[in-house]
Amino acid sequence: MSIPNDNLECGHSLEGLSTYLDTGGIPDPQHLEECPECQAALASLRNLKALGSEFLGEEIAAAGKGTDAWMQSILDNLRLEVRPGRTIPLRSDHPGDTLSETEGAITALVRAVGDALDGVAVGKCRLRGDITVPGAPVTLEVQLAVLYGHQMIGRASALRERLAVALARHTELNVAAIDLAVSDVLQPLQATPPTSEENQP
Amino acid sequence: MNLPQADEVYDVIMAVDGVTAVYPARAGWQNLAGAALGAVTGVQPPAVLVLPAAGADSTAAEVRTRIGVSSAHRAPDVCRDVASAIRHHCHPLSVTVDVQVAAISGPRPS
Repeated sequence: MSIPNDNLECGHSLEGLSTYLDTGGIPDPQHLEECPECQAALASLRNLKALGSEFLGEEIAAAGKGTDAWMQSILDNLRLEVRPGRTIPLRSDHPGDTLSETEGAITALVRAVGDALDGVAVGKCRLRGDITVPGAPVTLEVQLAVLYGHQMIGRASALRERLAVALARHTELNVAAIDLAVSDVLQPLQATPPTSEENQP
Repeated sequence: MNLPQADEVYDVIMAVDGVTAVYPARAGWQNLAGAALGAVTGVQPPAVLVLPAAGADSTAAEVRTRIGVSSAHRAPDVCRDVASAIRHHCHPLSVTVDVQVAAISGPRPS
């Protein structure tokens, strides 16, 4: 898997974190326990690696692309999404206190909810609207891939329901809409037709 | 009146139900500088910042922290519980609290 080399705000890169998953080696392992952005990136990279080994290689082979463009677009989004981003205010019980959530924490939550749903892989998620203003209407936009053999509408409905529950539980955002777009269908090995070379004696 | 010790406040925060982690309460570029300094000196920046309140006497302080929350608990409630626990620990010192949820993890929401 080719990983973009742009650094996160802490100085680590997705490439370095991917290498850590493969080899267990990283110069400052203590940092991983102290950095929520690296932890979110590692969780997503683990899921992507599992997804890639199970489905994506075959999907790419069947399409004859020879590239992992779909994976690259996910990684490009991931690099943006794991950053802290904007500050989402929370109601406080005491005047003068400042309670908040990072945008990165919420997008990581969205990605985790999607990745936990069978047959779905989250490609991109964005919070649209002024999330820094309490009560302002916010739209969650999610692009997803559905694995071959799963009903798109059924999977999308299930994901929308789970995301609504998660956002209501873990944020105080005024979620006006959850917009889902199925941008890809991933094909598993079993459904991949044999190539013409494989058919030859 | 002495300011509360950061490591004591850290223990108070970690004892709150739903808190899974306490992260260094600094911006990214400061983390980089702190990490570099720590690599040289062996001294790591504290996970909790306890500062004297600006322009105040020794009876007021500001506490800043970033936390990770288990998804088995409501993140906003945990955030408020942390602020309350810090205030209770620091009593009778007057404190303002800055708590930010930086990660929500653990069991998936049902």
